[in-house]
Amino acid sequence: MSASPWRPPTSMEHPHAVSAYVRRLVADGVLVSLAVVLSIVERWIPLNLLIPVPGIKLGLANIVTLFALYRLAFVDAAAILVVRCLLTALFLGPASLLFSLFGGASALFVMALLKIGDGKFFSVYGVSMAGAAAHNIGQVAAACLVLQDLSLATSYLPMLLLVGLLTGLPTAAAAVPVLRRLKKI
Amino acid sequence: MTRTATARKRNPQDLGLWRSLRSGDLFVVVAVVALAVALWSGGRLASSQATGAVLIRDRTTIRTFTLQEMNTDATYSVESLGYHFTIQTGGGRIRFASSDCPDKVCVQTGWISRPPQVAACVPGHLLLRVNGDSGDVDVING
Repeated sequence: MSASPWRPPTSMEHPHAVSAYVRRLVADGVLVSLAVVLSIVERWIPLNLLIPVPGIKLGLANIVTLFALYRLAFVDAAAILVVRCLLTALFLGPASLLFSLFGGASALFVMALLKIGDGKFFSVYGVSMAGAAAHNIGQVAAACLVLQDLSLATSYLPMLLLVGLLTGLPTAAAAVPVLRRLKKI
Repeated sequence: MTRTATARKRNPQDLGLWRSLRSGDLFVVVAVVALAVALWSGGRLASSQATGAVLIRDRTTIRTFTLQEMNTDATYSVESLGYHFTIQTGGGRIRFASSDCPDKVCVQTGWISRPPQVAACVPGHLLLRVNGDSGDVDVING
């Protein structure tokens, strides 16, 4: 998949190149809309009732990032992430934009790093858990920047890290069957 | 972790949960737990007994709450960046009782009473922190 061109193909190019480009463009668009929907839907899940840590989320949109990393390419995953954050901010208010961008970007980089070796060293579950932990670190880093105070790192982040290990598993469990069925996109 | 030749050929994502796990996954769990424990104990080392609480906005202390104030039932109104907060004290504890900020994480945090517990409202740039023995130390180790 990553072999398909990043730039739009010219009319001189082979029809296969054109269709591969369009296919990738459509896949990215579908994944963006899916990620936005998942970001909105996860706000409706009262996870606080199950785990009493303030501000926690399942991280459902991470399923999309996982899928894009495994089945498309890093640039696709990054582009989907940025557009998802911008669109979510449009729907849910800009207050969380900085946090979703910081968290999402750290999760993306960590997951792309752990994905190296294509499952030889880390399974999707490990990659997802590490991504969730990185997401939390990124978010708390953003909060520390805004508040100009580091106390959240010692008081709040440890809880979030442990929660990330728990929430990383169901997101991976959701991504695995999709990855298994969609070998090519 | 012995895999047969046929299993080796299969994509790891085709296997069930337990067989698809890799040794690196355990490393992830251990590393994240270790980081959490290290951060947690780093904050714990600083202090143990509450001596009061502070409300901070952008590094400046807006208000200090003494231990006596935290033991008295009272509410305080605070306005920050256009949001309105009620801070409640009583029983040696303190909390954000209500807020009109968008995410309400500060209210969900609930009562805090022991250092280094904090309740923060990121939209309002507010940080409510219980101070400990070592006074207004805000140095983070590690």
